[in-house]
Amino acid sequence: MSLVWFSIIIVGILTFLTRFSFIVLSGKVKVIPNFQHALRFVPIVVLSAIIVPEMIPTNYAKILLILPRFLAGTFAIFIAWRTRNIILTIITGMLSLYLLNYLINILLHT
Amino acid sequence: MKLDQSKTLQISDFLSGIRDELPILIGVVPFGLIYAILAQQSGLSGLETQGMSLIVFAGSSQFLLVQLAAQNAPLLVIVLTGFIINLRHLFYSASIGPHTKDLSIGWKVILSYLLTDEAYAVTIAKFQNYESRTKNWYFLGAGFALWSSWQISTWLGLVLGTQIPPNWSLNFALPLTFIAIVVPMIKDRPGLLAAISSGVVAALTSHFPYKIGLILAAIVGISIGMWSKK
Repeated sequence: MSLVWFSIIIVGILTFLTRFSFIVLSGKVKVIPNFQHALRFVPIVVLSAIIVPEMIPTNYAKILLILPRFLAGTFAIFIAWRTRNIILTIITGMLSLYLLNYLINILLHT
Repeated sequence: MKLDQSKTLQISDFLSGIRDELPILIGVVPFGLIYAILAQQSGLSGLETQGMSLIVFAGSSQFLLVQLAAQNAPLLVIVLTGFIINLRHLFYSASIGPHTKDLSIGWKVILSYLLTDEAYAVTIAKFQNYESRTKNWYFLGAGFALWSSWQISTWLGLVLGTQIPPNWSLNFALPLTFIAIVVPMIKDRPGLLAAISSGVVAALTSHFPYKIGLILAAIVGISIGMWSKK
């Protein structure tokens, strides 16, 4: 079996066990109240930790390449806050990214 | 009569799970396409590419696994990286666990397999103010919608291949999707502080190896959220 298949299967098993862990444990172990409070923050903090580095990618050396993602992301946050509409947020975010990239391209070539 | 009624409830919960997951798919499908294209460019076969989507079924780790495999990284590095990136699912599992504790082991296995970022986010947003005896069917619907779109978009990426130009910046659609999910979840000061602190820590540590910064950010964010609640 190839290295790739080995990796796929082992990572697959580990990922499943990670997902399964507390789902199978809950009901069997008592959970302290503080832990339950902490869990309410899980979706907010994990998703924020995925989003923010995507808006400020550190591997982009030049500010002109970072700026469109940062501004488009900020605008999308505003739209999400005001409208709570998922589709509208994605579409306005993508369109503003295209527009900003386009404007910066023009700036760079004049 | 009673049986029919609970069947109806199951179907209605299953369908609303699918319906609530649909908007998310706008961000997920491009992500699946890009994954498949990148995997092929890195030298993975079509079968391996689809196999990873089926067996690992976790987008961001699949991207890293593909890159590492292309660089001929040692098995131990690949496995450790995949494991650490997917550690965030521990948080998800703990968070969703209280809602699934009375289910049979078969249900727990299926729902665990379906516990991705996107299915989790939609399901927990619903569960925070929803009670239903058949709410596991809601989770199943959301998970199923995400699962099928991930498999199909992987396959489409394999078929379409390099016909999608990279300057479409399609990879930005996924963070936008997460923005659309997380912003309405922030309802008070502790939530806002948790989000900001987690985001800042993640940005400052994004150059750390194996995405370990994500776990650090989550721990800092949760601590600050808890602290500000007092």
